Amino acid sequence: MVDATGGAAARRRQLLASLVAFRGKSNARANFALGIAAFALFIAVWYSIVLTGTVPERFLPLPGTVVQTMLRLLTEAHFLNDIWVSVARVWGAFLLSALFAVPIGIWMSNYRLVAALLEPIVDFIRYLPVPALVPLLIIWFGIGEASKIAVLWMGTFFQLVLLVTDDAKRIPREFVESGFTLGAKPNQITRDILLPAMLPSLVDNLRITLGWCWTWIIVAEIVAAKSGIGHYIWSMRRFLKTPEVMSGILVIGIIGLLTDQAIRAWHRRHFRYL
Amino acid sequence: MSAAMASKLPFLRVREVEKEFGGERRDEPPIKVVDKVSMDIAEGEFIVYLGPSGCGKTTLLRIVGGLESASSGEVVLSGEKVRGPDRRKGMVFQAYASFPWLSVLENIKFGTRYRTDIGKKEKLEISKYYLDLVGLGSYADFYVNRISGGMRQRVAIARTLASAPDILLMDEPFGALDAQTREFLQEQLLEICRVEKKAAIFVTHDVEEAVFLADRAFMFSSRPATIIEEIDIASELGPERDSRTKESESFFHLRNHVRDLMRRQARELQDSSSQ
Repeated sequence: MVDATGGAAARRRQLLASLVAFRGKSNARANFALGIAAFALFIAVWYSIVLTGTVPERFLPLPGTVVQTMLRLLTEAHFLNDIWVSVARVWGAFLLSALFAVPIGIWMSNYRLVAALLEPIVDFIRYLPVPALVPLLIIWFGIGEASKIAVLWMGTFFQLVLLVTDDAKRIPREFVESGFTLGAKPNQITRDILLPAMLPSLVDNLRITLGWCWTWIIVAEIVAAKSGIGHYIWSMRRFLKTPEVMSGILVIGIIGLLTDQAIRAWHRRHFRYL
Repeated sequence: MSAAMASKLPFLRVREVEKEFGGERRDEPPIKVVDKVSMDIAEGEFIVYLGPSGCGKTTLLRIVGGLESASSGEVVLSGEKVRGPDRRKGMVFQAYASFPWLSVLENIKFGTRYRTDIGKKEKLEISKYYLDLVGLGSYADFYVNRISGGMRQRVAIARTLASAPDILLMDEPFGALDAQTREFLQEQLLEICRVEKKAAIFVTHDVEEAVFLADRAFMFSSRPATIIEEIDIASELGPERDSRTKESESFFHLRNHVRDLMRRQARELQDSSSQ
């Protein structure tokens, strides 16, 4: 008995030591426990701020109120419609962006001429702040769906195309040369070697780009929209309905988290060889 | 060209090949890497390029394979000038060039992918034949990054053979492997080449490996690579080699001779760089 508790104490000490060691070993259970603990602490601080009256509840509702509001909203048709509208915009723009960025990015890595022509333009536009483009895009496309898609496309395409080029460039030279000496033509090398070789990192970059789309959709919907989560958040602000505003934000976070985890799971299953 | 004339030509002819790199920038003079190298290679011959590291022998091999163009001179493979890489010149690289997203068998089968001379069924049969030839029959469904480095090089060799090249070009394929694996693969490679009766050029800086494998070895100088000596190893050791070859007296003599050549090159390299 004494031995067992002594062993447990030693193990605890060891675990603690490895957690604070420089680049120490990670422990999945300890990580999970610490994550939960930090989250619980966050909630506790939140409660104490509100309950002590440091911040009036009008500006910072209790966590429980936010969750209740969110659960209520999730049963209301108008809010579900807002979610659906935003999700559809994000995915539509994201797919449209990928549809252009993937082939152009690969093309840029394959042919110096294409890279020399496009890289300066892409680099320039990439540095333009997307919110600054919103007024212009509204002038061009109005406040309907087209302008939303345009904002998201502008915000992601130029980043993504360079990421894709990088992915394609990182493929070992031996892969391409092997292709040539096995009798492949350039297009066959792109299709049969480059694409499958870069696919794991491409999917990662697409996943990250999808996250940016959520940033830009809210910007676009706040500036000018009649529907969508961003529009909902912005209109609730006008009535100082803080729980509703926070619920909207929370829903975006949850959707983002779930999508991200789903793509990661697919990645793990699909690229088993990694 | 008539058939009689074509048959007189050597299988592979390297004629006065030179290669310079760089020189695009004014402050960087071009560097000559290969200097006027000529050689004829017969069908079925196993050739070894031997020389100090960085001497340009790999560049010469890449020129033969069409992966690099010569600054001057030419390479002619069975009467046709080499202008670029294709299936006739199979290449095995030092780094593992097998595809991680494919299994061992799928990798080997990739070698048959662009062949138009055989049908789908034959492609699979040929792939399985080479899978067994390199002794990986029980690893067919393994991903290549789940197997050892030596096995990966066997996959690369099998994949190249499955593409039915006219000549097999190998750039230090066993360079990254440990000594035991290396010796085992050398014997296996000779066995495969005997079965396949294929011409091969093998680049290495390992003297024992060179003497053990070669019918003929070319000793290159340090950069720029020129042929210092052509060593006819087959006439001394005979075409048949096995694990006991390395214990024979003629192997010992050849190895010492080549090692001396190699040392002299290394010394000259030291002298020229300390000046």
